[in-house]
Amino acid sequence: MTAPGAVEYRRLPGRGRTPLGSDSLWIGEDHLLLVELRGFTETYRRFYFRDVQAIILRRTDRAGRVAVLLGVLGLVFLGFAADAGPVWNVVWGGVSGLLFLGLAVNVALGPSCSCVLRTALQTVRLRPLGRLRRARRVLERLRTHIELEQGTLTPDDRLARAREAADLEGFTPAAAPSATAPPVAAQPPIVGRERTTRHDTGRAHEALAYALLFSAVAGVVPVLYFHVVLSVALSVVFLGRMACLVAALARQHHSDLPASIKTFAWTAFGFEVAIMTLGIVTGVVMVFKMLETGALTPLAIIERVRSNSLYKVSAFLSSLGWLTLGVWGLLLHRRLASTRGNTWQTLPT
Amino acid sequence: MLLCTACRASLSMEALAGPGSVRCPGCGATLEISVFPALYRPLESGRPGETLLTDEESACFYHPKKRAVVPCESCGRFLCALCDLDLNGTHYCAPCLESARGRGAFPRLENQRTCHDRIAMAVALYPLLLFFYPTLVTAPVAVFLSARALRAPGSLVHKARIRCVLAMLIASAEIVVWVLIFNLIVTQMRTAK
Repeated sequence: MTAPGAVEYRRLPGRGRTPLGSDSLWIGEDHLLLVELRGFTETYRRFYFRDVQAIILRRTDRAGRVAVLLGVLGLVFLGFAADAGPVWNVVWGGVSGLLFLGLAVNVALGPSCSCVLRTALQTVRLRPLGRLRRARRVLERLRTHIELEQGTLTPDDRLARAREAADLEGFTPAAAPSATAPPVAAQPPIVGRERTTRHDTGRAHEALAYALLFSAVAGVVPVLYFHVVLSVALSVVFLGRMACLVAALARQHHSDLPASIKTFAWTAFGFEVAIMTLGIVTGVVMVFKMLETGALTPLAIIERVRSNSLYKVSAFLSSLGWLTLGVWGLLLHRRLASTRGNTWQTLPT
Repeated sequence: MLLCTACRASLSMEALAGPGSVRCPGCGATLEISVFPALYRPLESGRPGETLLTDEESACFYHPKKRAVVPCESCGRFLCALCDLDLNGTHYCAPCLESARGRGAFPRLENQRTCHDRIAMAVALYPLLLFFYPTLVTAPVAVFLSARALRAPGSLVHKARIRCVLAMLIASAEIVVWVLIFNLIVTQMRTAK
């Protein structure tokens, strides 16, 4: 059998990173190749230009969130650098510089987006096209190839064909998904991260809101009174809060919950990450300082922590943050319950 | 019909008409939709094989009651329209296509490849980043893996074998360092005696 020759590919700009690997896009003679690198294996997905039905770009706020996170962390480390000694100020200053460099790169790359390619059989997210400007550039390049294969459509042509298709399918446009009537449409299965939306009541978010409120109260107690049992109890509260947070994030994935409730869970996650990062960094700095003085014992650590005014201020600020988040979450859940026609329910006691 | 990629709400017909950005009626997300003629094209259906009418016509090897339309270009068996698999103008039967795909004869049909060069690089580099001692074992393994990766089929898109060469160089350097360490130990032991 004579084997057809290997296809020559040209790399398209962009790289989509995932926790286990990265995705890249390559253009061949008659198709687009999505290369998904996971560990030591490359998976190839080909989209022939003649089969591409639509490419949809959606602007997202991921770049903005990353910018805020990098900026805040950069400022925090800059604060550490200003407060640290002659050697550590260089270390923390370097970390801060790297974070600000990341921020500059993030800003230079421009707004983020989600790009989806649709064929008759599948809808696939193109992770490498995660930035709007780059996605538009690549899309223009792809459009040339696709229109060479399929021809072009004028706006009138598109409208006429869309109306024909709508008449054939009995399609009524602009129907938002709701809890009672989720959208059912003849849509190709979505491959990858985006799947069918499922219904969620938001109970996990309600539990998270209560956990945050409880933490707000519990968080200030060790500042006023310290005991080992209390410390263990607070660890349990922390674990419970983390469990609620993980449950809320897991439940909202591909759910029909409003964007505001999802934002609440992600904000709570960001807040927890910021608190933990701050705590770890402060702890490391404190241990190193105590190593220099040679008084590194558990009791000395506890005494030093309790006597530190920064610790007291951060504990009160954390409690304030949890209180704000908890109230916000409860209000959002209450609004969700009222819009869905459910009665307001509290958690079973 | 197209759905919003954020909330899966149906998009209006006007959204399909223009190339500009539209707002999703469900979640308010801003969408830039590029629609192509394939969206309105009906799905192609497979061709059914024609029934054999006279004894003078050739029959399909796999369907004796169907009329052959083309021979397989690999094994030469006669195929009906149902069994004919057209790959860029070349006609194959399903078993030939499957066996050729298994041998990697059709790069266009391959959907996965193992990156042996990355494995070699990881074996050469990761132990070095953690501790140096594991490299006593991993360095020779990395040399072997690099040599094998040079001959194994690599990535479909990255043709260069630079990673294999780099892995081999790093692993060789590790071996050289170990030889020097052992040499130093032996020399010191001899001096001590």
